[in-house]
Amino acid sequence: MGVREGVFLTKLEELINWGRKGSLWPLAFATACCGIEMMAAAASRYDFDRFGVIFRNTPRQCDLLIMCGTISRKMAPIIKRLWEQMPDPKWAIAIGSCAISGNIFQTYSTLRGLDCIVPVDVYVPGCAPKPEAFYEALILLKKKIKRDRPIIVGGEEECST
Amino acid sequence: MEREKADLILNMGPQHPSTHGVLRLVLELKGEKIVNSDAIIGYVHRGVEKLAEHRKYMQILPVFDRVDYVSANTNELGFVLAVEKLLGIEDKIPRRAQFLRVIMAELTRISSHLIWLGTHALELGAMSVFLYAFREREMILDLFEEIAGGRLHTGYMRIGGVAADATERFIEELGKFLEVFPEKLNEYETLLTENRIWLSRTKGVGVINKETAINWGITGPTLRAAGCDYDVRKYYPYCVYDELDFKVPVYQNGDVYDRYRVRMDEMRESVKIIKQCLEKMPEGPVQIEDTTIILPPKEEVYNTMVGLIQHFELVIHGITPPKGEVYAAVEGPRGELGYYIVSDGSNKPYRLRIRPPSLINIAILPELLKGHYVADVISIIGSLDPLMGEVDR
Amino acid sequence: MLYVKKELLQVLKKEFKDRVRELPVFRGESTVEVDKEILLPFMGFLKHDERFKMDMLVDLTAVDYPGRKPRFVVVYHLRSIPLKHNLRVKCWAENDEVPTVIELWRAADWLEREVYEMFGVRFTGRELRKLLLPQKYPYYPLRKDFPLEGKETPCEVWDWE
Ligand code: SF4
Repeated sequence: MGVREGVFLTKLEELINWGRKGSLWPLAFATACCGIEMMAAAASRYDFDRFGVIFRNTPRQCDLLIMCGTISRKMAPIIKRLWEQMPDPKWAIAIGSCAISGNIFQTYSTLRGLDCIVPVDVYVPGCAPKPEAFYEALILLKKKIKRDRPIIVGGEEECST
Repeated sequence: MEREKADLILNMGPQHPSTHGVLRLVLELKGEKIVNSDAIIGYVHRGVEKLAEHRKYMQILPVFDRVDYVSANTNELGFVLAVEKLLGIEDKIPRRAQFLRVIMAELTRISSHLIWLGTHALELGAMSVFLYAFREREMILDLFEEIAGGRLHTGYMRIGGVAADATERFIEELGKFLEVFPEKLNEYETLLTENRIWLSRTKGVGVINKETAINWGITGPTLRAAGCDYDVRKYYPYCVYDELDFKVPVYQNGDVYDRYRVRMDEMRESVKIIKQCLEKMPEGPVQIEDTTIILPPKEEVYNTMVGLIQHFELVIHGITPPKGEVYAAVEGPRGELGYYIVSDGSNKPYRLRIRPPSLINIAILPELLKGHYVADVISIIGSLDPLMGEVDR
Repeated sequence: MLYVKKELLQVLKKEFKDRVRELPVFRGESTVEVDKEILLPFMGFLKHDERFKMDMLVDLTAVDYPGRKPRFVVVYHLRSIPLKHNLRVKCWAENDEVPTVIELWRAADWLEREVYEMFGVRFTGRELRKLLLPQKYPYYPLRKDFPLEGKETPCEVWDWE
């Protein structure tokens, strides 16, 4: 991207990516302890809003699923449905060991990680990760979005996400 | 009883911003009124009780941090007290450790109530309280981090003491916190206590009277708002609560507003308790000496043979309490948190049952919601303060 | 914790003869064992008698002893708020059935449902549904012969109900 004599030159792809990465709207949804840290990240000291993040309550207005907390088998179909309700383009972050692998709860009723049901872009290890780790996940995700190829030419190329 | 006919069935949750996690309610409505409802839970059921049967006593501790995740310390404390009772070493715990336990438990109560206050107010439309409450909560989390190393899941209690002694910085910061916190509490109260919107959304809503509450097994602030002074800390004192001077706030109406008042007063009492603890806390060790129960200090493990052997003995074989069964309870932020352990003499519990206050407190929900308006559902759920991790375990 | 005094236990023995047995006191906690047939009158007595006034059902759970007959014991923790004393009552579930105490203490409602789904102990005189797991879940997870990791269950079981 570059600005010269009042003219703004960029590739359309980059413009789209720039717009997308600057306003990620995650779904305000958590199942367990990591959700409390997400609340802390959104609240006064850590202030997530400055990354352009605004939590929305309905999946239809979101493009980011931040999965915080243990996923039980009973919950899994609901998460899948939430994911399907989110409009494209969409991304997913798995926060905490539970959403990555099930953590210590290797029992009859828990799912071994979010990636069993939803494609995950960024994993954040920790139990619970500190709010700073949430930032890092977001920054990594932004880097990833920047590399995206949002325009599909001729319908042949698959969407790159 | 003839069921009133509903003309709309509304599903609320499990993904709903104000159900405190993943509670699902199926409401049968007639106009705006709820004629019938059902609560469906279990969306974070993690099989903790089963898990505990497969782990040694020491290994179970971190699991309980994660059961009630906003009050990790009280959860650990309850379990630790139950195991100590099983081992018969309650009186041998050093006094300094007892005081530190009380300090941590009360800090946890404050932080848990702050989360409750923030989210409850947010759900009823007062965003600023949420931001204020989390500001003070961060101070407590800093304290936790200083003494135990973790923000949320502290892992501070040990069977036979606590993990580490309080550092000087901890005491200093704690003093500062105790200094500013009562003022902040007043600040919240100016926003809410006499706020007309707040009053009209909470007064006279979700009334539970004393008899009903006791019959349903409700404990904690919800019971105390209904006019019963039951508090484990006063009825069956544990640690050093019998030496401390504090009041148990009791209100009479049993509605959402009174539950709010009880919790606000409890935070003030907690501050008082911690102050007294800081004054009375003696110097001394924070763990018992018995190395069949608690791991020897790290210097010994690294530098002496005996220490190393003791360490491995304990890690491999674990603690083996005698055969028997005990029930021990603490007053968690949500009510009586009990642990019922059946031991068969091995190093793992034969059966471990958690008495989850949240589960028992919200069992009344379907009954309570009847006849209320949809908008009141949020304020009632919020006032019962369920924590879904603990409800489902 | 304060438990019911020895003299009071004698009262129970006099009232219900040998259908109530006193178990050895461990760490100051008294336990009595009652026959299933007299469970309801016994509990009613505890609740309404002036000397006991057990107005709160603190907890209700079960323990599994595989190989023993009957296999499950249902454990009630009772408390009197005015008199401050506690008592643990045990009742062996012959044929895996126990009468419900929901008429005496409403707290038993969800707790009995939980015991039913975790152990398969049926409470007669009330309708039982599973509490935490899906209604179609075929096993009883807290039984000792059920593995921690669970057994293979078909996908439909976990479907959204
Ligand atoms: S990773 Fe840890 S903190 Fe996060 S939900 Fe799981 S148990 Fe809780």
